[in-house]
Amino acid sequence: MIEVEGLRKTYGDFVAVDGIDFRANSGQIFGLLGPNGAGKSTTISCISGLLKPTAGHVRVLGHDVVSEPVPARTALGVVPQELALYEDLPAADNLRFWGAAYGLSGQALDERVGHVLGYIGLGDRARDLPSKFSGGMKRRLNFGCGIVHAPKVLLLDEPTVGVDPQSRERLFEMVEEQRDAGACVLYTTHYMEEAERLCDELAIIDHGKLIAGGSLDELRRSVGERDVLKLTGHFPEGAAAAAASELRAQGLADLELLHEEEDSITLVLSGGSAHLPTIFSVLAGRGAVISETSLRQPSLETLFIKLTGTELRS
Amino acid sequence: MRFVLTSAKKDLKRWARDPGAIALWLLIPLMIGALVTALMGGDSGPRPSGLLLIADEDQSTVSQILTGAYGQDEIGELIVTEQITRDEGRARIDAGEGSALLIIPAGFGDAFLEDRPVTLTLITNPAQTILPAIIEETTRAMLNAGFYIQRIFGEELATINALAAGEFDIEGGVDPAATGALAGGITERINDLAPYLFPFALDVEIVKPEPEEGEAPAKQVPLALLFLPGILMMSAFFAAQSLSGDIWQEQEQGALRRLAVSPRPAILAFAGKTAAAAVLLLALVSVALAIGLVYHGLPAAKIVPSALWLALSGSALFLGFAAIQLALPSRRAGTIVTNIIMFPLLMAGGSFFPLATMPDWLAAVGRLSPNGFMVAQLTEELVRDGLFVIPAASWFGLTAAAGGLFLLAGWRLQRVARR
Repeated sequence: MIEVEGLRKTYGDFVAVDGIDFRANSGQIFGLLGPNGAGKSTTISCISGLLKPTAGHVRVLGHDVVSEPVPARTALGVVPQELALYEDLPAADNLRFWGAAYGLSGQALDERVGHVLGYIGLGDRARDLPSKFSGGMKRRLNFGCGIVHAPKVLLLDEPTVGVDPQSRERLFEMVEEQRDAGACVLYTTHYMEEAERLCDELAIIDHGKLIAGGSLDELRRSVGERDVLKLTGHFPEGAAAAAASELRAQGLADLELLHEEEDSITLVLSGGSAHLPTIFSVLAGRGAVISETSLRQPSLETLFIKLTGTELRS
Repeated sequence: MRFVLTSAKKDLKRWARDPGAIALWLLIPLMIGALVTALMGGDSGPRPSGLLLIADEDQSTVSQILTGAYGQDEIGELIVTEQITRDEGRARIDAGEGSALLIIPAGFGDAFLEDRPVTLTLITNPAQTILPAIIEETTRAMLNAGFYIQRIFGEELATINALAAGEFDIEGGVDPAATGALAGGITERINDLAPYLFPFALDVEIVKPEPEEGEAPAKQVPLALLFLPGILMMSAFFAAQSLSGDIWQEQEQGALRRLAVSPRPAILAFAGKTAAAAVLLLALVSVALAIGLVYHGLPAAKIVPSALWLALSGSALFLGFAAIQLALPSRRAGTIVTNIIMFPLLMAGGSFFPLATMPDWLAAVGRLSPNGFMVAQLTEELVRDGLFVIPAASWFGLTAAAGGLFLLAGWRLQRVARR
């Protein structure tokens, strides 16, 4: 299990991670969700021991990563965002080296290398160099190097970036198998669909802060059944707020104005598609010009928009 | 320890996949060595000599003395003479045969003895440079000597000429009064010169340092052999500099970063890399040494201490270059800076030209450089009798320096791995 308490990491005046807390349990895939630059990789680096936290504590299986680095790191398997392989060393020798780095040797090492090669689907390419592999094969070997010592805690930092759909599906299966085998998996991503597909529990992070957390169902409930309506165009100052009040007076009682700028507004309401003509009419009466409309069903994405006012990939 | 060995095996396997680079580390210094040895004429084989064609149209005693002088002592080893006619000589020189043609005109002997102007003609072969110049200078020196002999013994030489012409013949032989006068004249000239000649007014004493007690007397070392230690060290230099850049490859491949989050300290992996570099260097210099020892006819047993010294030196250089690379922000900067450092060190430290051939001040500076120190020690090992001639203090000193550099580079590596 991973326990993160009041984790803070700063670089001079810049705060990369601002006092976040969460706990990921064994037999669980814990998702750390957030846009690029939110602080996910910094959090992972602090957990893996690559970076020393400015404040707070991180424990892996009860071992503090700063004061007890060796048992904490021995329990960890890390699959970094960027490939971390010896491209000029055969696949089997890569696994053998990283297994030895985590204390495996002799027959135990040989058995694990053979098992992992088969598991990642590279059993027949054991003697080949990674430099001759496809991107997906390299990603699978990268994953294999992270699990060759059968870690109890697995850190996956955006492991599907740049991966083809087929290899991505195989990676998902392998992550789920690690979870089913009892490992605690911490999975960072900025892809909502990955988080919804894989994660048992989630923490949403933005600007270094944890802005929401819980199981997938809990988070969905917090969004409610309302749709998210984003309108792009030109909106005179105060027009959106006045229109929202008028629409609520006309019977759209649960309509909420989430976000307002000169060129876009975001509304939350039930049965959004049925009320679009009314909304357009009221806004036009207030001087607004609408050039683009986007209506989304409730999802993690809409939750993120609700929480931050911006889309996840922006 | 097991992880150090695993790391060493891993790096040896990786490097073995690039045999071209390993061959270059060996071939480039060997090519330079072969070139230099060829330029120096090697250790054995015939010395180059110039062919002087002589057209002696005088055939006098004096002209024969002159032509005979070219065959004397060291000059005779450098210049081979061949009597020939003027026309044949011109044809041979035009055909590029021979280094020079000397034409001694008829009447040369008389003119010399009578102190009259006379012209010798020396035609040199334009296709050659050094040997014709040697012949020209030798001829000039001989003519200068002839001038001074003429100034001192002019009268006596005229008498000798007259004697040879039969001017003093009487019935039953030569007039004893004439030969007596000639002997008296020569004795008088020598007596005049005696204060300057016996003893000679200028004395040059050549002093060589006496070998210390128990020390073998210094022996003559062929110039080509003096190049060998520097060339071997150049091979170790190239390999060490190139291997030190492997750290950047590991960093670019993300392996260093993954290593930094493993429970094993990155410095252990670096110890493995250093061990792998030492093994590779030992193999590399052993091959180069074997070639050098066979070529120079040195004892085969010399390969053990020499290869160990070279491998230790190469490992220390690898660690030094690694420390420099790790102090810099990128592979590009590392490559540029290590190259900037390497080539002056090779030049000043006796790899391109032996320290023994340098001006004293430059050799003194060179010996202070790492390369100079390593080359000087290796030279001792190779040229002196016995095995393990390099002092124990040098072995310990170099090992200690390598240890210090290992700690410095290892410390930097731990930081770079976290980038």
